[in-house]
Amino acid sequence: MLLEIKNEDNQSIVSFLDCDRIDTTNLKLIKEQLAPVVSEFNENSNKQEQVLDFDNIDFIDSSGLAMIINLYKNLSEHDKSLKIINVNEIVSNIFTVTKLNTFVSVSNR
Amino acid sequence: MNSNSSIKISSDLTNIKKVFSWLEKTLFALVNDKNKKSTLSLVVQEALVNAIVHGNKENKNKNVTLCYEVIEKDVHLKITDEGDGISKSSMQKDESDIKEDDLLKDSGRGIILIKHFCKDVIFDKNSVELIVEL
Repeated sequence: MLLEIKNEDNQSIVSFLDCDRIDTTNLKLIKEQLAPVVSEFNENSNKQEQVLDFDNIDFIDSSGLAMIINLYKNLSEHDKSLKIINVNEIVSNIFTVTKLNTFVSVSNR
Repeated sequence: MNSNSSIKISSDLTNIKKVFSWLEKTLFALVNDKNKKSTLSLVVQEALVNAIVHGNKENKNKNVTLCYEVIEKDVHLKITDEGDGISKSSMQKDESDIKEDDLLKDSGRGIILIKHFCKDVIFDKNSVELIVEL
């Protein structure tokens, strides 16, 4: 299991375990594990914010960015928001270059 | 470039792991800074995906070769595929090309990331040379 889920107040927090990157090598597995979590979150009217905790993530590639963009679109369709926390310098730079930080809330380590 | 510092894989995305296992034992062993290692991982990852998916169209009978050489404070990484080469418009892409309408598109960021994180990028017919400061 790559993902750990914590529920706090109106948030669902997803952390990445045993995984320091989000890229083509593990994306399929992450998507498979994330899909039911997001589906359950979208159906829960008490939860408003989906949080991704990037504390263990060293880098993300363009396929990982595409996953985040699709997650953002999915959540937006259900009037939910996405926040990414504990982002390192490189990933923060990647989000800035690709302008992902202009529509997703990002907080650095 | 030094032929001892090279690896060849067939065009299957699952083979990217083999390249990173090899890099961990070779080039990455020379890199102490974690951020620098992440930068190298990112640009190599993007270039390999481009070569496998766009260059060789995931044809497993075609190969992708990565070789590297450390020259003074830079590493020169050359990724070569067996495809028809990258288009001029793709080569010229940079972050200023991400317009508001493109923000939610789920593709087209690989070359932009490579160009941002490398000191220099040299495109040839079916190869790309990435120069990264160590």
